[in-house]
Amino acid sequence: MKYLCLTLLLAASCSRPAGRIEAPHPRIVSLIPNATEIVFGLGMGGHMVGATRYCDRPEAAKSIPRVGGILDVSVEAVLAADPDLVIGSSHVLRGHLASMLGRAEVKILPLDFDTAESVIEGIKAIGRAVGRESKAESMVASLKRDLRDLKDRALRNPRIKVLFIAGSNPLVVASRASFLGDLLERMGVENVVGSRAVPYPTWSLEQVLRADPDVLLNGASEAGDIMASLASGGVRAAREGRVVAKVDQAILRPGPGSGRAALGLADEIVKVDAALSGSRRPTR
Amino acid sequence: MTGGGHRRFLFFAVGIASLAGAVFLSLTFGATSLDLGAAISGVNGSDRLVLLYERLPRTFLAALVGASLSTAGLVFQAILANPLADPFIIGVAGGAALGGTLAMLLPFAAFAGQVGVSLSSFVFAIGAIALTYRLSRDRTGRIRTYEVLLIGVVFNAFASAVIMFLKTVVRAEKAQEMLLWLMGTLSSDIRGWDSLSVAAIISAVAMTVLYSVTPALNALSLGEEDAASVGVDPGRVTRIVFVAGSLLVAAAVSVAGLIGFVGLIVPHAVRAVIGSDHRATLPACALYGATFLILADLATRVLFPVFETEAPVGVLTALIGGPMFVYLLKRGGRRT
Repeated sequence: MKYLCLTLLLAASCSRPAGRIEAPHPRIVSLIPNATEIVFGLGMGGHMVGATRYCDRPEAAKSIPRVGGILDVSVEAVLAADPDLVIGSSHVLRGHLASMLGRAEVKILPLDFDTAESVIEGIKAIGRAVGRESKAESMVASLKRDLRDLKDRALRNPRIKVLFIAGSNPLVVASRASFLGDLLERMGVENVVGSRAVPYPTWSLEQVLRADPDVLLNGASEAGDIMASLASGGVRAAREGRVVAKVDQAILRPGPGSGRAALGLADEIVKVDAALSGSRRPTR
Repeated sequence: MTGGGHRRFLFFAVGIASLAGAVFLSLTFGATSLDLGAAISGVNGSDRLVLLYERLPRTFLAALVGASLSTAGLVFQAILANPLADPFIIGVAGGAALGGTLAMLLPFAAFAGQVGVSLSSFVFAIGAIALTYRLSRDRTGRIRTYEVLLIGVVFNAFASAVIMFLKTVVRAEKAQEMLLWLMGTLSSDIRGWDSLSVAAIISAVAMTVLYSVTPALNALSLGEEDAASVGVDPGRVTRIVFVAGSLLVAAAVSVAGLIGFVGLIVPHAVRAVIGSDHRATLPACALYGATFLILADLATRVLFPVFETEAPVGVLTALIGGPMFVYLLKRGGRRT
């Protein structure tokens, strides 16, 4: 209990949640790829002095000095970047890292990007912290517009049943509990992975056969032709070629571009379904 | 001083110098460059921060865990009469890993953080030890060492299965966090001197207790009957070693996860040089175990610019420890 109290006290006393950074040329470290993308989107990419090795979008983000991964952050490397602001997930910006940044009087901005709403709040918070509120507002407006346009964009009667494949070996699929599941629900299709407990469960061929999706969405980045093996396993959508073979990777990372990517995916789903199944899609 | 005495003296002198050198290197080098003079004098605030709150506690943590695991490995190999026994074999690893994993997943983790993981893994490790202890005793209350091994192996496998199941049903980032911790890491949140001093006190008490039974361990290595003939109670010594050794492991795992091979490789290396007199090997294992883990951790930090991450130190100890173990085994075999 003593340690628990000490930890809570330390966290409370050392963390300095970010208000607006007063430095004329703020030095920013991002420990989360979603935030890196937003910082660049706000025109502040030139101020970034540290990022994770997963920060690969936009292209310019790849040349920012690395300070670790999303979980395996090097405290030394972050401090060596001499930042004014560190943005990261609430899961990482705590404990020892938060207390070290507090001691160094560095402002921190803990953000989580797991729902469309959290992306909107994240954009606003980063905009406030780096003094680009109006640009953040227009980014939010654009995302909201995309999400509005997404509503029921792929709604058909009966609903198109889709399976989003996030990994092929083993077969990892996106459930309704995931950010992708949320986007699929918004566009009016039926995600055959009903679980709301596990965001990305592992499925077997048997489950795919039972669910019998109308369209398969391939978001897996691994090598190997998952569609060929599903087709040889008897999966109807794979055999009939009802497949969106290469999903825009922007949809996989919740961020300002997710809405636009989801619109594109919705249109592709409709196109694939209409072109290849026509009236053959069974009515339920 | 006899030839053996000279050898031991030299071995300890080299060990102390190596430990001092390792501590110096660990404070001087890391993921980034640091001006030690400026950090000590306080000229550079950032360097001072890194030195005082990152490198110093981390070096202490590495020394503590390395010394604890090596000492525990030595005494378990002695009482189990099995050179392959490592500190994690008696089920304590499975217990600690399960406790730590559950603490990461349950709502408890949200407010207790890494300290909660430490507490939970310590409690589960002690639970696993108690279970193994209870199940491996015969009617007379004596611990059957082969049952300790069997129960430990089975319990570790059971705990591992539960952890694998949990890994498959949690979010990807949570699974990665679990994996990093299970591989053994010194870059966790455990830096506070309060947490470190608790682990240090437990380890110091356990090591003192173990040192007090080293003459009895020497007698036991001749066989139980011979030990009994010189007034040693094998059952009592086994119980003391079992409990004190387990406390060492539990303390180490609770602050650093599962760092393998240290408890296997260091005792073998020490015995290869100064023989098997536990009065000498026990402090030597603590000394060289501390040095070994400080240097291994330093390597993970220095390699940061290459891999853009600090590899879990448990991975490095296994990479170094595996080939070194085979070398020592072959070298010992040739001598025999």
